[in-house]
Amino acid sequence: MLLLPGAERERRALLLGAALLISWVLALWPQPAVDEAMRGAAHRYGAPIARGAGWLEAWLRAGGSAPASPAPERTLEAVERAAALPPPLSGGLVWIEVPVRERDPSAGELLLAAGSRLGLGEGMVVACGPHYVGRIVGVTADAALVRGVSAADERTGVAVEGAEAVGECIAIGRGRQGSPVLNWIAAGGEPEEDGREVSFRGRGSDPPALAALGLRIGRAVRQGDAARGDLVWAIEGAWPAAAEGRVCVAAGALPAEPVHAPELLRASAPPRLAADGVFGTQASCWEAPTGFPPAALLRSGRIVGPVIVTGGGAAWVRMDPPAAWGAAAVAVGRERFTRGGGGIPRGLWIGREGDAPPGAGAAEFVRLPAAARPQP
Amino acid sequence: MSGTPRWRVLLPVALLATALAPALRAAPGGAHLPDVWLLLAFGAIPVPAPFAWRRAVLLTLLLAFLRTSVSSLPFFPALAGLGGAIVLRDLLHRALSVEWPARLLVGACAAALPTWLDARAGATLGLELESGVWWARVLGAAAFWTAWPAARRFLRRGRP
Repeated sequence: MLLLPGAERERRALLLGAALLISWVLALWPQPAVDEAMRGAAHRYGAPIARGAGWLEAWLRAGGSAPASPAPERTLEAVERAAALPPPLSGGLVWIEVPVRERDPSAGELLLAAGSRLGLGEGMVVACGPHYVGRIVGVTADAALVRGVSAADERTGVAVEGAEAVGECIAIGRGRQGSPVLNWIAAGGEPEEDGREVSFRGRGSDPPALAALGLRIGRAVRQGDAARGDLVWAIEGAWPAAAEGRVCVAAGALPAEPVHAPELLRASAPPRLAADGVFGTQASCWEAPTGFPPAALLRSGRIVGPVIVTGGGAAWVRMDPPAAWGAAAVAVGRERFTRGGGGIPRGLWIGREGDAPPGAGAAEFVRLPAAARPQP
Repeated sequence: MSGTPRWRVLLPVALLATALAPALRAAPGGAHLPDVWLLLAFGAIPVPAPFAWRRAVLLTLLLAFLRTSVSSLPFFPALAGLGGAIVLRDLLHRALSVEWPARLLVGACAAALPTWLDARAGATLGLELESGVWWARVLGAAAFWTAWPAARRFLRRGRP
């Protein structure tokens, strides 16, 4: 097609404008599959450049890494183990200590790292220290699903202390919609004021020794407006922090072998690039492992940060200092540990407030393998 | 196309700049430096845009690719940012005078686009561009664009 120079210029401007518009649309509304393919290509074919840049960066920064922090005095596991043990049981029952694999506090559910192979079964009561956590509603060979008082439509027998007598009621969970509400068995049993303690009463089929423990659940509070007819009594209270890491299950006998924390997927992580070309020391690039998608990077026994991007044989890690972990960390004194979730195991040492991310030592990628979720 | 440098010059310079970029960013104060790929695009693509745009388009694609190879950012924010900056610089340059205050304004407006896209794409990965860093990068690129004619005259001295 023969076009005059002016028309040809217009045609090119239109084509270029359309291409630029598409790139802007893809930049502002990213499509994961397209981004992944383009990033994979750039990291695969650009790997020699990235390795050269990494070598240059390491050569220019020689001897500049931060000194290693001394190891923490206590691990999160030791702290949680001490906090998780409930009062002793009688009547032939024992507590089995089980690590938690995954948690969903808003749904009121926990996934335990042990199942029927270690003697756990449906209906068993789960506690953490003097607190009631929930009941096992589904098991596989290596996992157990626990539903707490707040899980949707979960019904739990509870006792509410009153000034003179103890009111018996059923707590009905509402899941993500809100706190569990109290359904009074006997009319007129409501407490006189907010803040009365709610404890576990159990079912008729539960051993009396369990109900006798009086495991705590929370406090009874009024919600809604009596004038509008929507006044309800609800339970205010959350699981203790330690219940996100370790709980105890009431069982008839101890398992033949102790319950271990789930085995982690690990792979060595050769460095590719110590800094990001746009964000500097906020991110670093490593050779990605084959076989599993890494969740976090460990170096010298400390966690460096979460993996934010993978593709083309590279894995980018965000270099988070301990203070940047926020709600994703658990504090034990000055020490910070990972809270777990998103494939990152719980209890990995982050460091102390004010520490820089670890800059030297052998590095490895870790991931908590996913487990089959039992059906209730 | 006398204003456009040749590939045999551009390619090694672009590769060298890409290899040095992470080290520059990791250096003290390196976060405040302007984006090297944006500076390369500013320096290598002349204004007003030449009639044959193929080289400018290929160079923009190459710079976006090189940038992605040493960064956690996706490809499209890099391409959209560089492309947008070049187009905006061209449009503003045609409309405004070529005196230095206008060049500074043109450079700042053009550099603000990719910097904003970087900040936006980085936020989705939990990476942050502080406002001080953002302004330093924009003003750094604008200063480069303002000083570029003088630098170019210096580089081309003695040539016919």
